[in-house]
Amino acid sequence: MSATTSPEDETERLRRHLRALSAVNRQLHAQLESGVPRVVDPGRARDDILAGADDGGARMSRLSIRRASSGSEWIEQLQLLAGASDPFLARSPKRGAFLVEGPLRRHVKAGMLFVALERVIGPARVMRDAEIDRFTEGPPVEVLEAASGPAFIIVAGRRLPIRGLPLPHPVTDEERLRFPEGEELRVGTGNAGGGKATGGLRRARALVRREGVVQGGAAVARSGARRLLRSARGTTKTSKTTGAR
Amino acid sequence: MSAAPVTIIVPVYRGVYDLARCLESIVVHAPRTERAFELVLIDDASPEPAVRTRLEEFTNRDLPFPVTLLRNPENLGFVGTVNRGLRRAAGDVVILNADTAVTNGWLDQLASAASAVPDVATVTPVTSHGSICTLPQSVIDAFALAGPNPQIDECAKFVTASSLRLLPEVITGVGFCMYTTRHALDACGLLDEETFGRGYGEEVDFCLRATRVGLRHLVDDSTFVYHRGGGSFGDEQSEGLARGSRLLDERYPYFRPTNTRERAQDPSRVSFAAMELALHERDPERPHVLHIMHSAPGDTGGTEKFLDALMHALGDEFDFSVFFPVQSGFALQTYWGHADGPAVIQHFLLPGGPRHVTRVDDELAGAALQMALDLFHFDAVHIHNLIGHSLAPLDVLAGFEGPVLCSVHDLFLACPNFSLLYRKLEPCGIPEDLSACDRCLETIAEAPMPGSPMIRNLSRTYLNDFRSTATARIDSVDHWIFASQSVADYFMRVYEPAASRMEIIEHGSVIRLGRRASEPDRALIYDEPLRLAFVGLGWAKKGLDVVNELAEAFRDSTVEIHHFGDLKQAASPELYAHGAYDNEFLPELLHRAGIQIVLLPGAYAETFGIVMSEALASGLPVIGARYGALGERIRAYGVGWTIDPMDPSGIRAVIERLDGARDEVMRTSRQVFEVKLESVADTVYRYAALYRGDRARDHAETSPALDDSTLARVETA
Repeated sequence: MSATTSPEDETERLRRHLRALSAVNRQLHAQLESGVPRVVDPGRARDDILAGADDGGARMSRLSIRRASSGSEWIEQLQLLAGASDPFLARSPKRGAFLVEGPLRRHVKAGMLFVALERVIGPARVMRDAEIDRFTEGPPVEVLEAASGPAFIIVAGRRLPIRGLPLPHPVTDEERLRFPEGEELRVGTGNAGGGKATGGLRRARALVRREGVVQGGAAVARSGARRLLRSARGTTKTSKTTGAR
Repeated sequence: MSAAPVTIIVPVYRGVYDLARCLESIVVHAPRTERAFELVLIDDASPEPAVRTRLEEFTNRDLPFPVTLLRNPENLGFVGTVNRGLRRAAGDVVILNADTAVTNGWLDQLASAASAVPDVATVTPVTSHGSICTLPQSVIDAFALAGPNPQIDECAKFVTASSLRLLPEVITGVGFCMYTTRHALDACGLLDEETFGRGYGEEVDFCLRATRVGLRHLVDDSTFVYHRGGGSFGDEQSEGLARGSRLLDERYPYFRPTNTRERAQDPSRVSFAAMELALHERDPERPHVLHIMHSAPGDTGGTEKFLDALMHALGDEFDFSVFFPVQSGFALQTYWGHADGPAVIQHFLLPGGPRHVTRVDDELAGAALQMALDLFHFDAVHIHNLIGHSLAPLDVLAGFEGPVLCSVHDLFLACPNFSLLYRKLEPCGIPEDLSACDRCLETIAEAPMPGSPMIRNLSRTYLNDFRSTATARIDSVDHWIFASQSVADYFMRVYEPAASRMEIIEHGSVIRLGRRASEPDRALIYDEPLRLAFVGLGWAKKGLDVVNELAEAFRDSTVEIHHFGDLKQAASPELYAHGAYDNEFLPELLHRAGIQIVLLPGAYAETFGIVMSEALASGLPVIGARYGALGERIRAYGVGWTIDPMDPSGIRAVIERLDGARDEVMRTSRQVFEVKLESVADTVYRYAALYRGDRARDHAETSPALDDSTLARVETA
């Protein structure tokens, strides 16, 4: 305590010190929970010799959990699309799903992104492959993530933050290999549609398989009647944990 | 510290605007600088004529400090230029980049820091752009330091005011503004011009040489010097950085790992945290209430819902903080009102034991609460639940000056097995003969109810000790608050607080009211299958076992049993499980599912029944336990049917009867629409009065005082 500091000031300073320590404790605890240590100002590492010329400081302080390559190469092109004509979603039989922005078609590989985009910019147009091919291939619609803020995609020159994205929790290869590989889950083709039974149909099939045609069929019929009743009332169908009655 | 004047060396190459700002800042703050200094400007053969002109104009001014202008005949680069200045200096030195701006008191404070502890080589202020000395982004944003019009003096004032003056020690100073002591210069000599050439890495090399001879480097966390950054050497930057970094790695193999560790640990972290907190100081004029909870705000549960609604309703007038146990101690979370935007939410972790304190009186828990009370000024404390805290808070709060409220949301204070379910099966009603408790506590000690603390030594002795400790501290609480008469009655089977300290304040509905139709849906009640909804967390305490049994029993009938909420235990496949729901949309969800009655068959004696309020707000009658708050409210308002939760066949009979008596369902539903519901917002004025301390007035106007006759009434019942 300096000679000019009053005891009251010093008490207040100690109180602020205690708050800061408690806040840092909370941050450290959060890091322990998340497994991602905080890095001192990683955004400024490029002109910081203390971060190392190869940005080693920042790199070593982060867990290596990223799987995708850097998205920096797309940024410049995406910036040019700001102000382009209204973007729209398109789907073609063979080419897949696209976001069309100005002269570019941008491949949307992830089905859940496509569904989320439909809610923002409207339902997809069905186009022939030849129509899709008339557009120039642009940067794909991929999830980008910076050192701060939520993950995002860029549409029409705007950054759309993504909430609710399931992020992978890192495990080691050894841990991964403790489990045999099973059937592949294709999130990216979730928007393709067709071929798969709907939830209700799947349940009905399972019921008939489990209880036989007579018993199971009767249960399915009862369930259908109930659905019709609800439909007439204007309410939605409720789901049961297993099967229909 | 040397007695000779401090020499401020400013190498100049390009950037006339930055240079002008730097020089003016030195001039502006010179009159209030007590430490004698001289300014040495060295023009490193600047290619910009405007720079040369500016330097000449400056040196021709009548300045209150000596200025020397040196010109390099040819460009020497940063290192050679600084060394030229260093050779002239007799005392301490500040190497100052031309794209900086100094602030009030900067030199005195740096000099003071250099002599605050022995053996200091360098002191670096905090800045807007300077490696490990860079302020947190929130501070940079608050003062627009990265923009074209940075609020430099305002930021300096803020940094000085909010600084903890910790002078964190670092492994190297940062070259944008490095106060270097004469002692260090004498011990280490000049910058290594031969190795580092035109720049980058030379100040780190100097610092590491100083460290080798036992000197140290400090960050002055009370002094801010603006640094624009990136402009001193233009395009040469990247190449210079790479070369400098390589040279450092070769000369000091230990440097990089040490530096990496330092960046991860961040010696300035606490100092910077203090500044970030200071950005959002609480308005001391607003009253501040501390809530003591058993779980984090936002967790699932009636108490959490109520607290959320309470804080929301009183947020215009009060600031709140919530204190609750976590895995590594205790957390304090603020909810402070802010005129310009959303509430200020800050998180603090206070030391403590594991999440569930199990001792009767835990010193660490008491110390953590005391620390919370020391951290901020609180005008009132409101206890909601002491699970995970032990009874220590009651001891700590005996000395608290403001009002202390305790809402009895559950009966943990009566028994650590707060569900009051004997051996987790049937309601015990808090027996007077504790011999029955032995067997129950033994069961609970081995496997407590979900959410209850694991107390290994739970026994009648523990229970006696627990109750006697609570009794001794009962007067720490100024206002015992009960949401129903029944919970007050239960509480008074164990404790006898003064009647004048007890109040009944019904919670009110935590969801918005006024969303149900004007009258019951006749077609739904008469023409559709009977549908009952079990609402809330699906587990035994709330009656999931009974619900499962009923769902199985009604498998082949038209009666449907639905569940809305998370499942903590397995549900029957015959149950229509809708999953977790957003409280606010519950009325709509129930309506869309065609529900006519809400079924709450938990054996647990509810202390209020927030879900029941949600049912009434949805316009639906309730089937609930005949005892506890549900029975009390169902009977008082005639809004449902009471049952014995221990008798599933009896419940089934009631449901079957109602399936065939739709007139009765209609009549009771109409009664629901007659009840005048209150929201939490309608009732919180009473809490506000208690927080403010004007209890006497509030009590006289609205509160039905309790007296000992209630106990007699319960015993008779």
